[in-house]
Amino acid sequence: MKNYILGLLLSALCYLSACEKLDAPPLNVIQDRDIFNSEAGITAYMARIYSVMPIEDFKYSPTLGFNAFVIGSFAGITGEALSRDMGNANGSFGYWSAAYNLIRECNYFSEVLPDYAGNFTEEKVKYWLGEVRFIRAVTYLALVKRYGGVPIVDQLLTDPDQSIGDITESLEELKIPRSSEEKVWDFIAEDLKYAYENLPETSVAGRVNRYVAAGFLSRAMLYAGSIAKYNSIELTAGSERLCGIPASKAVTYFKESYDAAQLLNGKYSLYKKSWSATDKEAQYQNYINTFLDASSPENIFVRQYKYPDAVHGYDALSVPKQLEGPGGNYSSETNPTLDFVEMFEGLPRDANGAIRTRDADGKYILYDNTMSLFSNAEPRLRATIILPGDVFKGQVIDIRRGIYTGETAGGINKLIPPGSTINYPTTNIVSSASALQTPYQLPDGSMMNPAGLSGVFTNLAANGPGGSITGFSVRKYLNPNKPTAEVVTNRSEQSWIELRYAEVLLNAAEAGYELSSLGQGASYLQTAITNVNMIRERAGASSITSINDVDVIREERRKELAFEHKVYWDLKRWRIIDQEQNARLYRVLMPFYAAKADKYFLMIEQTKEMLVLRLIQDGTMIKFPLQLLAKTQA
Amino acid sequence: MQFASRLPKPVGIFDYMTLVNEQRMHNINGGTPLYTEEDFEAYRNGTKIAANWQDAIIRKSAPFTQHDISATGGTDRSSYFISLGYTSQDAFFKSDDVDYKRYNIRSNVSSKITDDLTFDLNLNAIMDRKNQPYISPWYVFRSLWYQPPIQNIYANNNPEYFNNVPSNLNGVAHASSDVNGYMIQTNKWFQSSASLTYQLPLEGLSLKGLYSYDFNDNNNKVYMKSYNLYNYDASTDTYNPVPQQTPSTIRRDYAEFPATLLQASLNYNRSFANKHNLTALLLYERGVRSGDNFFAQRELALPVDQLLAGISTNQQGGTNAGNLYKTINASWVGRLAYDFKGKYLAEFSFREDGSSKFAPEQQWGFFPAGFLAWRISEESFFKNSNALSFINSLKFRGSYGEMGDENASNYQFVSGYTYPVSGNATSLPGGSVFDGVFVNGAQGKGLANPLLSWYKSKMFNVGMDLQAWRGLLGLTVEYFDRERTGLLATRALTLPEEVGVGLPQENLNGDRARGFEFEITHDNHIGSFNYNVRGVFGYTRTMNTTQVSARAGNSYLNWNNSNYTQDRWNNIYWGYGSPGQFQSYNDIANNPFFVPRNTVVGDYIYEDWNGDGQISTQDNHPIAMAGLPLVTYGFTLGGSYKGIDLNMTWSGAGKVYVSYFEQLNTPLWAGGGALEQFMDRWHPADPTADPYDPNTAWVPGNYAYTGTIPYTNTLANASNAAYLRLKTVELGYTLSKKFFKGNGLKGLRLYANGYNPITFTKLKYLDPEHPSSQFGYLYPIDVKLTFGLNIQF
Repeated sequence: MKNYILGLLLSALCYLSACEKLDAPPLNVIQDRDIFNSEAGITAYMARIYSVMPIEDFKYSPTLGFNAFVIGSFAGITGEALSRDMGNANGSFGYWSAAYNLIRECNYFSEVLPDYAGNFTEEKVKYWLGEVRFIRAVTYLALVKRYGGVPIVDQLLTDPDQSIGDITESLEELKIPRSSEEKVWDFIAEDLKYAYENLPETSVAGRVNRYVAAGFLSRAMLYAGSIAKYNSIELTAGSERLCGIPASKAVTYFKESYDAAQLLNGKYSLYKKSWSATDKEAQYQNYINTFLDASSPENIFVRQYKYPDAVHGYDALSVPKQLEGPGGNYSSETNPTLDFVEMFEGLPRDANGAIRTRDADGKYILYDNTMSLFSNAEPRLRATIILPGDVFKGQVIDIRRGIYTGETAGGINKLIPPGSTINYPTTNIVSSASALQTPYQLPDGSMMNPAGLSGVFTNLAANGPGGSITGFSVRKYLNPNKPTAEVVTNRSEQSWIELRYAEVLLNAAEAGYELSSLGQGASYLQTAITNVNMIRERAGASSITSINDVDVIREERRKELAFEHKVYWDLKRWRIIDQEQNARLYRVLMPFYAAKADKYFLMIEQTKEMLVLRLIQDGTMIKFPLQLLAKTQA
Repeated sequence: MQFASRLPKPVGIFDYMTLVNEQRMHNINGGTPLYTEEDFEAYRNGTKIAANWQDAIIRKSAPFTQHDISATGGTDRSSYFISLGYTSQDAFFKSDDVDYKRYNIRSNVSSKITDDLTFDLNLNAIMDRKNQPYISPWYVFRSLWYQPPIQNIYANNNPEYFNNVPSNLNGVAHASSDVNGYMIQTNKWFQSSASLTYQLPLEGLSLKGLYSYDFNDNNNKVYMKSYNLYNYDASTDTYNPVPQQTPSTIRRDYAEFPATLLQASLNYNRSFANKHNLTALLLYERGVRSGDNFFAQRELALPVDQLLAGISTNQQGGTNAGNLYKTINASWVGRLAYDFKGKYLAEFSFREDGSSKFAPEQQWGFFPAGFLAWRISEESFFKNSNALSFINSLKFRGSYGEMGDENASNYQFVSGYTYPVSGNATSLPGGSVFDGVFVNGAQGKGLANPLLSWYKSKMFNVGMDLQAWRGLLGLTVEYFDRERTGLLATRALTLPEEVGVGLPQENLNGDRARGFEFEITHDNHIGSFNYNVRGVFGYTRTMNTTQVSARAGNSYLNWNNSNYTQDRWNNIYWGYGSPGQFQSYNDIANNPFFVPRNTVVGDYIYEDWNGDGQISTQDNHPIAMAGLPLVTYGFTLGGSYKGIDLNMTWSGAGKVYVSYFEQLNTPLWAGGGALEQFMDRWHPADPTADPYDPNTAWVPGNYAYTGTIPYTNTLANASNAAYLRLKTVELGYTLSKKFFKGNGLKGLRLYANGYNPITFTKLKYLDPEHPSSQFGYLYPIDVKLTFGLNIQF
């Protein structure tokens, strides 16, 4: 009996220990074979690397980086606009670790896919290899714009079979020194050309085809050409010039940019679906639709969004205060400056070219409504920003700084001295600090709130009531059909147009102008004039017959690409951002209602002290992250 | 009944306006008060009515009930224990929308099938249910403290319309489920175990098999209801709605966590010749724990709070990857214990633990332990000594053991891809949208570490137990030391960023916890009055023994940051010393180092610790203890006289400091209201006097003048939260047996119980155990008073 039981016991133990494989793998981890054996696996890999590709879209902020929950506006540091929550951007723009992580993922794909190439057609393999080379180029583009020459990593630096010990022992080999800025630009060009040759003619929205690569090549080479021509800083490490390119290379780069841009001609066109040569209203509406019509033939590369998984909050952050959605004090983050508005055609101007709101005697001109001032404005201006009193979502956008209660019979004199940044005047003026207003009784007995429903409120603090702070609000990209209930930070889905044909035309125009100025022939200049006129015609502006100054092209670019997060980098590559912005006070336009005249007038003011764009000390390079320096210097 | 322990109160309208005026006057360039005498008068004579958010939201007390029924019984072949319990607890909100209910049943049955075979079955089931508004209680406190009394609860004081107060923080709307929706959390636990014990023919040898199955599920229903706050526009007499949390959304979450455990053990327990006692055990066990879950969410077109009423647009479903797992553990356990007449005791044991969280070669770890004790009082020389006869029992003991821990591991040994990547829709999403369709991404996991394994604790323990004078004195002294090695960390030597990937975690770090405990007891009776006293005292400290990391920029920073230090005790509170407050302008003028121009009387003085004549971050030094209380102590007192019994438990903690943020740190924080405690502040006796006039007379207070905020990490902001509190007190009366003759009752006891009724602490205004996480807005600590009846049949 005893032996029997012991035997049973022992056999039970043996049985138990025999099944001692504690095998319970994690439930959401997959392997290379799951990725590289099917197109769906490859698409999942692509979905990840496209999502972290450094696109400065609605979710980019100089201070918070890529793919951030942004409050504030990138345009708030370029002079295009003022933004309460866009602070001093000095020393920000950081992008390093995430870049090299993405570069590693691209290199990994390039090295592993060939082992699985037998699963797919040759076309597909070429397509995907082209895609990752494109993404790698875009990543280096983001790096070189910020830091000049950076370390070039064109392969995986660790071997899958290496143990941690092996890796840490070979640490010295892993230290890659910075290459010269020129080499980085050449590396980008090489990748983009590879992509152009391998990518297909067409692709689904959100992924790239060969023309996207060509378009980016025109963008990158224009940047490199500008550095060669305009940069004067020399910063070297050993034999490598980390900042700047020899001026002799300018022609080469501008030519590359020009030629790459020509590849897109005939493949894309400016959006003119509802445009009419004779109807300014149609031109205005057409320009608005340019940014919202998903089937626009002008879109070359877009990043798409889809609720609920991938969204942005552009509508919530940018609508005028009176159309604010539920769930918090989000709105009016992008307030265009008067300096920006004055670049456009069709405004009354004084002898100096500045906007004119006072008559020959210096008295304010009185209007029936604030839109009267803009009755002849270029359609592109109205479509790019919301002017005070213009209509958006069926509502008149009510922007008023205050009510002027003084006498109007002999005209109204200037309320503040020129150039003044003093606090808002209060004599004969009622205004409101908050959105909860105390109404003012007008001479006819009716009541009127001092400020408009969308501002301007005198409390300008970041946690204040919000509203417009410049007299204007942004319109580009805003969805006019979004119900107010959905104007929240996680419901916007309109695509970010990273590259559109208008930019390619402007790239060719600028490269062409620079080439002709460098003695490469007049035909380049002719292309520049033609391209600028194509843009201006669609915008509803007059055409030009000659270009005598590079500023003509630059200004066109700043108007056309406004609020598209491109201007900052243009100002940098032109090497003018420091001269333009140091201690600059941007100007704003303040609508007032003159109670005793029942008319409006518009007062030009300087930016208030708290909203002054801070000095940007170094107009050339982003400060290199110091903590990385030690690791990078080999 | 429950009461809130030391719940801060917001100030009333006059105090609020006074504080705002002080804040405005607190301006070196000349300040002007915001509120004039007319404003005060308007509230005084009733022209204007201030809001009382506290009274609108909070009630003084909340009900609490608990019922238990239990029965035990059996025969010589079987025994049972069954019980049934119910607990219900409400919260301090007037809306009565926060409550908690708990039900439990238990059944333990043991039955002898044959003389040698025993069957045990234990079943336990618990269900609880928590109801609350969609907006969490802590957030209600935040809203409540934020809104100053000058903000009306209702727009234009019309109760039909909730006022759109600053930052939309309308606490009255937040506290009500009817307004903002609800969250119902239901948890169920089922625990079962069945075992068979077989007494083998060899004396003292038995075989036991046990299987247990536990199951826990969470079932939540979350109804986010849209509601309106209103702006009153006096120019048109209209109420403009400001919709909140739209669209209304219903969400159901379900998660289940089953776990099984199989155990087989062989036990041997026998005495030989009444001297040699031997116990031995060999056990094998294997457990599987898993978790699974899913949720569904739909938007609602009509206010019908059911998932079925949801619309198909934007409906969502998914699984939380953190609660989707399956892990397997297995162990071999052996133990051999021997004692000689209870005088010399020795034990050896081991565990061989396996876990599926490690790579196959690293799954198993071996952890031995040993124990030795000597009961010196059993020695004949001790027993025969008259001088020592007052000692009834004296024992010395010591033990050493190792333990393994797998918890930090999360499959870092596996390379591959995380799919789908978790993302955030408003920042970096978990994939990309291609052609209008969202595609989940697959993200490389980076470098794996297949060598990752158990981390190991070495525990060393020595102690002494003493009993003397037949219970008049009992004493236990114990010292312990726990050293852990192999804690997960990433090597200091990191890869250059350009490699594009970081090193994985390895078993690198170590730490140590050391301390002692001391317990003293006393039992006695005086006539028929029996009483006992028991006191405990504990002291624990921790340190890092190995800490891999790069050095900081300089030695001071290195010293300052515990991430860089090893072999130094933890729990240091770094900050500026604060020797007090400026008592006069004379003090300020004669201060030996620089103070800012706008300093006023009552401002906190910071210590120029490094003596460089200015206050800077380099004056950071250890100022206090941080983290958990280092010293804990407590004592219990019990006494009974005839039918009356009284029991008290006191507990205390020392060397503990707390500091708070946001509204518990700053009156009028972010333009909001203030808590009453901040009235105890330095301020000019005449509120209209210029605070910067040296001749102004000041009233001293605990806090500085309104507008001065202490630096977060200073003694001025940290408070000593050492406390001693009466944790529980219970007074009972048991009716004597003669009352129950013939009516079936066996016993009846009436009692009154208090929980947290008395607290001694230097901390002002807050409960010393009030947590500082969640910015200190957490639900307050309870004081409970319970009256009860205990009947036995």
